[in-house]
Amino acid sequence: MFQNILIPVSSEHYSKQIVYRSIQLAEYFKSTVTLLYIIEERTMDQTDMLTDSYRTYYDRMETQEDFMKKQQLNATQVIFDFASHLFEQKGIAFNHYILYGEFSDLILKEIKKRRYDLVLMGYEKQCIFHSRLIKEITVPLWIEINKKHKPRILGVCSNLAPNELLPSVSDELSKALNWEMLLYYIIDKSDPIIVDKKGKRSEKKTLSELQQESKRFIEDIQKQQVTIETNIGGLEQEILKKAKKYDPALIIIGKEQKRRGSFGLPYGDIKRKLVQKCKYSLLFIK
Amino acid sequence: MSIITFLSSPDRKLSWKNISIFLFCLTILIVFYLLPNPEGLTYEGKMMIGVLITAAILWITEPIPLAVTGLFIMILQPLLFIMPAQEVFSSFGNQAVFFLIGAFIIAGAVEKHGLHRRIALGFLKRFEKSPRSFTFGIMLSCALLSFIMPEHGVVALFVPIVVSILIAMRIMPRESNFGKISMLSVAYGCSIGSLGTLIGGARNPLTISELSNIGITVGFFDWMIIAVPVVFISLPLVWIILQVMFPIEIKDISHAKKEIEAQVAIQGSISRNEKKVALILSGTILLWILFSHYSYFGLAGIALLGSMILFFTDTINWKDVERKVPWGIILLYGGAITLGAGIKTTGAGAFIAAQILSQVNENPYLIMLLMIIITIFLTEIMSNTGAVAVLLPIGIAVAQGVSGVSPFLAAMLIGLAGGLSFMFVIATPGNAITYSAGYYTLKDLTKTGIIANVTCIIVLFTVAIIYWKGVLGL
Repeated sequence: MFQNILIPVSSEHYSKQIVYRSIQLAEYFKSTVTLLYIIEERTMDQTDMLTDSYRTYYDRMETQEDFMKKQQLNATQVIFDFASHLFEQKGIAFNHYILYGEFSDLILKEIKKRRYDLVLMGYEKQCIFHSRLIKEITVPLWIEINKKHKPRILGVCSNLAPNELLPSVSDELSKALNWEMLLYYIIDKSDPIIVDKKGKRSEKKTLSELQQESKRFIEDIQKQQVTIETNIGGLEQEILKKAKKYDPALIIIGKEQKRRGSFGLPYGDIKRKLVQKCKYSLLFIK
Repeated sequence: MSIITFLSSPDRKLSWKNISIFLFCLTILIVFYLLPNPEGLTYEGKMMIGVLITAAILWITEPIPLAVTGLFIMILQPLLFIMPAQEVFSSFGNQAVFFLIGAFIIAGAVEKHGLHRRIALGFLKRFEKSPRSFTFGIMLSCALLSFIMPEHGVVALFVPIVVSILIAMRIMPRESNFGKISMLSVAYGCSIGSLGTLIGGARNPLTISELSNIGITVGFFDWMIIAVPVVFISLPLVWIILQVMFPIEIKDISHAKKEIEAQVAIQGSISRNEKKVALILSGTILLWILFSHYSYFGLAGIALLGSMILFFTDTINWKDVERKVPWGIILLYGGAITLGAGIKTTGAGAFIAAQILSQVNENPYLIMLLMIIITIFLTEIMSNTGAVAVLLPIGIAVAQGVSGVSPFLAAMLIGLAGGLSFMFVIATPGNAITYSAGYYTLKDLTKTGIIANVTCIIVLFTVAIIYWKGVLGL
């Protein structure tokens, strides 16, 4: 499922946890892992702007050059060194690159350039989250949050997403990580539509039609002997409520979940809000 | 491995956010223009308060470089008929401006020949016994070097040195407490050290220049006598805070030792030029200590004399001056001086002080504490020099109306508190530079900064009461 895993690491945020997680996945899926160290242009620019009245242009450029060298040295001698040691031990194929620029831009370019099946990245609340990446990314995006939870996967299906892939991905990952799994179907009646396999939104449906659709889906799933629960409520709130109760290490969500509010206007970016509010690792799948 | 390297110096863009800030400032000035003159305040005084608020907003939000705001303050005063152009621009010819220019030229020579690096490594070598003592060494070295060089230069010097050491020790960015303490020690060490002498930060000469406007002359050594105890009490306390907040996880310091030795070896033996610069620097400091309060010699005279000798001895040339003297800070400083002069001359300072005193209890201790807290709050969200420039004229005017707080004491409280910016990246270039090295998070900085700030408020307040008022009679 995940033959090529990309791990982008920002010079603003690094977590060893993503290396450990990628090892778990790569061992099971026999994947090749690519570690991309991104020296954040934004950090350099901000520093430059905050110091422009205090230090001369030449001094600032000298400092920037010095920093670039140190960042590269840090990437090669500390971060890549640590990762390659672990990957070699496990016999996992491993590549690494250093790039300078804007985080989302570079990842999106990298995905276009080489084929990846999963992007696995860390997240830190204090960093400005690269929301553009969540919106524009075309491959599954795993955001690893470094907090301890029970070894469980919560797969979230809903009327707002095509749910075809989610059960199988959840099942496969549950086997790979040896974690428990629970599927949860949320009927979001605030946006009473059904998203089909192609991600197309239907006309407005009645609650009973939505319930019928969920019943059909649940019956299909139960044939595969998978536990699934269902509930009616707001998508974002229900996910957070269920996650609090179930305490999963990973929540898997379908990617096309775009809720509409009054007059059909976008309600807000659920995925982004979830990342900001959630204390659990998240996997967005297409 | 492919490395794409592209270094740039971004410019501020004319965004909608910046346009709204300008429009907001313009609105403030229009509102002040239309407001009737309050009782006890002239048109000039009223408009000067408008300029003060405009300057504060521009220094906080930074839609234009800090230095350009300095220039804007200068032109606003004649344009709004507050003060004649001749009067405004003549206050830029302040002795302290030339002191700063001289000090920057001398610091430039020190940097050019790598003397600062040699001194830094020399200090660090003495603290290689344990990881804890090493972090204290970083902090102390930064503080001491900030006595003879502007703090931002010291941060820019120490960050690459410390990063090299951390890389040699295979310290994982953001994960290691040792990495966090080391980098925060650079930021905090330089900030605290910059209080010690007039060279550390531009707000220090600004403070003495405001004092000279009310007839109080403060020499180089006078400043040190007042400020150095604050440095040496705050420094170990902040270091202890760092140790408690981030317990060091490593025991072995041998890789750091090797890295420092390697860097010392690269430095080689001291060059002839380094010796010359060291001699001129020592001589200048000695002259500052002995003669800076003589009106026919003064701080600026000595600083410029030192700079001249550097030229005569061929240790610096004009190209170096162009490369090393941050004219931006001189302009920022100039704007700050004219702002202070305008607030004083137009009676705006006395008016604001009277309003403040009518609202708060005239308890001198409460006033002193408030001065420290307000300055630290402001310095966290805007440039240190800007914060001091905004608050000094008001603080001095307030002190003139309260018995038990002399203008001298008030100015020193504001001047020193202005350097204690520990909480945010935007607060001081030192925080921004160390943050960009990637070893601590914004949360680490804020968390530690709050506790360090509270500690330093207590230190400064206690020193002011016991030592400044009690012993020095300020």
